[in-house]
Amino acid sequence: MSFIEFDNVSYTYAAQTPNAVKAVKNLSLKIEEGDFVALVGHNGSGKSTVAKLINGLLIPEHGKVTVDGMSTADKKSLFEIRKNVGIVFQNPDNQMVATIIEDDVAFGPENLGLSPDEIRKRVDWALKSVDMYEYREGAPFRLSGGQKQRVAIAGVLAIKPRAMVLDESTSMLDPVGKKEIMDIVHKLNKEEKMTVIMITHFMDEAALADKIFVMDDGELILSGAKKVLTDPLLAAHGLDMPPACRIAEGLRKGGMNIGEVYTPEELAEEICRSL
Amino acid sequence: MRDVSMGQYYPAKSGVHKMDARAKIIFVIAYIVMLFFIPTVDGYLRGGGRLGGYIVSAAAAFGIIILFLITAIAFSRVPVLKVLKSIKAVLALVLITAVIMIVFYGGEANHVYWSYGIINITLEGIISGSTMAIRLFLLVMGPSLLTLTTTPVELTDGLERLLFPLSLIKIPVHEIAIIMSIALRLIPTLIEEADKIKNAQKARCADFDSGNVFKRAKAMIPVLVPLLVSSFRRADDLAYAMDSRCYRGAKGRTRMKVMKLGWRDLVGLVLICITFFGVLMFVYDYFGVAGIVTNWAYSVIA
Repeated sequence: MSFIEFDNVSYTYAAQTPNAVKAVKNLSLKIEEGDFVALVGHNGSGKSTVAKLINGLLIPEHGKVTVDGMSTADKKSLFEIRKNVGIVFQNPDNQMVATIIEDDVAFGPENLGLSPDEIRKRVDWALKSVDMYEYREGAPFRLSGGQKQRVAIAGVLAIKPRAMVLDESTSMLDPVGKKEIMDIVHKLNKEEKMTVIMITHFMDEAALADKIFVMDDGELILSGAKKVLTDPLLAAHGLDMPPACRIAEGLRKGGMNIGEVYTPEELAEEICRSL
Repeated sequence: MRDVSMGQYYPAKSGVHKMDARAKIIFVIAYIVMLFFIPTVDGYLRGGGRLGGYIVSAAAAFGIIILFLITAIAFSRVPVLKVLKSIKAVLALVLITAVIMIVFYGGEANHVYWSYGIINITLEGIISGSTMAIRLFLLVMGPSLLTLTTTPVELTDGLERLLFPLSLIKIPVHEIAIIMSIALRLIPTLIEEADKIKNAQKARCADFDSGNVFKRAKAMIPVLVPLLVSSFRRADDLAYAMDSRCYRGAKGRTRMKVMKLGWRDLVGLVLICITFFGVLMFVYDYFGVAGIVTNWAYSVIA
């Protein structure tokens, strides 16, 4: 059994009302422990709903979501599931509870009922791994967007989950903030062996993942390794290839010998090689 | 403006700042109770006391309390002016009340200066009005020193822990505390958002600064409605974020920062006990101390 499994899951917002919106339709997917996964799609494609389904913030209408074998529909296992899967949301301002940064990071472990010493240890560790330790006694509202989001990541890290979902966590940040977050997430995936599920509508971010799921209108249209990012089906659903892939394609048309590339760094290397 | 969530907190590294918030709250309550132990003129005279005795014991009791307050301010390293500023808010109220008490004094009185109908200007009235004013000023300054030396977060934390016994009778103490702390946390965010909305409306030629009060209040509606709507959305998001961080209410929750009583709180306790005892000594005339002081005062005057 996989770490996270969606088995034929559907979810409808405001079900049984005239405003019912079917956000996720018959979705099945599997995520293994230690994976770096991206879930891409347009706004309104149902990808944020998937994030909330993973740790039981929303319960599927049909089908079943399991985390480490526990079903999210089982109220008794929700606490255990949330200990295993944390979510970093889009707006950093809307996920902080305390007026002091270290108190905010401590919120999760406090809910776990740990001893004060253990909480302190985890908070210090989490703040150091996102490089925000020296700000620990400050107020969140003085920070930049990227810094706030790093604190939010620390807040999830302090719970020591096995998987972290980033629900469009970089979409409100400037390029510098974005890069900071991506670097941290990569480090966590490589060094802490944390499963990362990145939900985004930026194809260049998706290109950093090992496995990619593409959603449109509540359905899974593509899944697999990086190769799916150059799939012709993307265009049919109004999605672009990552910029590096597009440039590579153009160069190939122009007669250059460019191999398979997904990120700007890979592209640069290929161009140098072919020259 | 964005610092409203810090209240009137005056950051300093003093003994009073480092005291346990719970201890400080209890001391302030004791301080307030102490102020009300000092009797009114009317009550004292009805009890068979002399006016001279009242003046001496009330002055001594207030003196002791003022001495305590001065000591506390000195230890807290908060500028005296900051503490005195808290009086400003109640100044008008206190003065009006004092004047009314002086003019319409209807209690026990042997020294009448002028009387017409219900208007009685008496020495007793003047003393009664001024003790009331002193009492109210002291009443405001004590708690003000508490908020000057304690952050709102420490205060809510302290209150949560002090009121903990109430949760045994199903009062949601923890929930109230977390609501207060989230409210404090959201104040700067909402102010920022209100600024943004206001600027967006200004960019579309909204006019917030001209016209009379009603016109200006009405102009704020297009700011308040989006602010309200967005704060509901925020509340939704925040609830998801809290749920996803394993929040289950007070159940099984521990805290990182443990409040510990220290030697500073012991010093505070000793000081407040001495003060309380001093006040009671004059009010209830322990060891005949009020009589001795009164007789001594009379002999000095004579």
